[in-house]
Amino acid sequence: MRALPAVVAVVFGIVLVGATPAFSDGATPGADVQVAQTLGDRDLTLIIRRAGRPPAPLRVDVVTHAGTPPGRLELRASTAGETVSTTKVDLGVTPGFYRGTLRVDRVGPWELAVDDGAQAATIPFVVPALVASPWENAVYGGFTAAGALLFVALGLAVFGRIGFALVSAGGVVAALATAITAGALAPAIPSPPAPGTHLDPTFDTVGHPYRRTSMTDFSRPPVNLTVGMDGADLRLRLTDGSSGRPVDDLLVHNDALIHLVVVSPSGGMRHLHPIRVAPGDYRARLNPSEPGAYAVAGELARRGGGVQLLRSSALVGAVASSPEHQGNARLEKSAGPDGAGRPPVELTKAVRPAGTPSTIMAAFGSPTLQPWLGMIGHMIVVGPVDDTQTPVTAPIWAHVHAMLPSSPGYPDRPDESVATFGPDIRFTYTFPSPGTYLAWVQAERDYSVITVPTVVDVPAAEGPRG
Amino acid sequence: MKAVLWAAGTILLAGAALLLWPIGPGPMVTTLRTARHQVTMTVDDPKRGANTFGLEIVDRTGEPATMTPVTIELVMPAMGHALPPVTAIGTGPGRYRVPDTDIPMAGQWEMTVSLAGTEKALFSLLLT
Repeated sequence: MRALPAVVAVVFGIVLVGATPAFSDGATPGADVQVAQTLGDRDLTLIIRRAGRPPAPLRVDVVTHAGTPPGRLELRASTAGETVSTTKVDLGVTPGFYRGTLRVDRVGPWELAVDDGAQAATIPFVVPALVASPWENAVYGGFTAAGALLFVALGLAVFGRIGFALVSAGGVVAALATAITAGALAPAIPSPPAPGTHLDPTFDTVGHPYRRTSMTDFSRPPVNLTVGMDGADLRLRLTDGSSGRPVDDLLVHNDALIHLVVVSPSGGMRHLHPIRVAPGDYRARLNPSEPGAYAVAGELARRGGGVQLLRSSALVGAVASSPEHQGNARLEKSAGPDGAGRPPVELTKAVRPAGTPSTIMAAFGSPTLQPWLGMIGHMIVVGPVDDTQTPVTAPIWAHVHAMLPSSPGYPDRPDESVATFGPDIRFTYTFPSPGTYLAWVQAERDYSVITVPTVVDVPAAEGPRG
Repeated sequence: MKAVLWAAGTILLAGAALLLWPIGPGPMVTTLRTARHQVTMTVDDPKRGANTFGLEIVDRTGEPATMTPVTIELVMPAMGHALPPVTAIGTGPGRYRVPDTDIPMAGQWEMTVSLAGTEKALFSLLLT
């Protein structure tokens, strides 16, 4: 009987020493960041893979597409104005994935620079902190305290101190109540504003993600866009619509910082993803093939959310090369869909009167489409256009998506290495007013973006509406 | 019995202290690098109302760098508010002070420190 307290003490010791503290580092928070970038003459997709607890390697996949010139890129990871690690990635002739490994040494706001020797695209990203939430700590702390107090109560009872044992037992109940309450309520507690998407990421906000703020509305003022030509590049300047300062808080949405759609005077369409060269200063290689007024529209989202469509135009003077008519909607009837060497794409248009949903189906032949910009397909709609109304002045400018089917069991969206989608893509869009619209359907196969131009004539709705 | 009450009281007090212990933000010190300098910004307990900022500027070799003017520009990106720029007062080699700057709203503010108009360091302040 005398040995009992010793046995209790030994068991208690084993439990305390043997118990490993539970941290929430089983899974790495955050997600891969996929960003499409028009870097010089290259159309790249950069995938910044999620990093572990710093110091940790940071894997960056550079995805090249058909027609991307081979060459060497320099990748740099920097934070607080200091370059922490550098690597080189050699892009081959074959389109596909090329990997570079960098290193991150602290949590906080980071910047990835992709340098082709002539231009450097900088992409802001966040290395998140692995911090247990307060309610998680309450659950673990409560159960640990309950266990410890239970042993104390047992020990006291063994020594005949019944009163103290009762106090300790009361503590067990209180600790259990705390832990169970925290555990039961945890799923209903709203997550705090995320640095990077809601708050500006700083070492402070990233390092203390559970600090509450009094803010409830994170939306920001609209953006002003000025467009100009800089050689073969479009130069975009983004300024805040309230303070006039450079806008440097763009979110990666639909896998790009800015989705820029440019329509040439003859109706050729380019879907570009400008690179950030400085705060509020973006470039995209246009290589204009004809002089005239190019219609420009940028889709972007600022921190705090909400996608904005910014429309503008760029005037191109004399150009040397002859027109290519790549993806030219107006030439569709004479030239047929897209270039040679690719399987033909059949478009089936179920066009309804203005104000009712129309569906355009693109049949790509075989189920080998790859996700592009997080979607299986994109359709750009510009119109109505006629003899007086050009894409620059067209009142309607739309970007229709065909979503990827859900993939249960996989937390991340598939990247471009998955080529199993299609072959039929449906786009449903309600043309707001009657008239002639230019439309382009885009999807990716064999690391090549296929652009199918078409023209849609939308009839007027019959009789009074509503 | 008295001892039991004492023990219970102590546990209760300890629990209350654990829950109610004030955890306030202390002085905030942030260091950023620009192309040629390193700027350290210090602010005691950033809050809505009057705040005093300390700045320390050194060059890449660690020597204090003195230049004029050093200005701070405060902007609240979420609301689009911009305050007029304030010129910092030199207090020693490479040391500057911006006393009693009124920040009228809680939230996240962006502070651009402009070094003689040629280099800029961008700090972020979270006022709760």
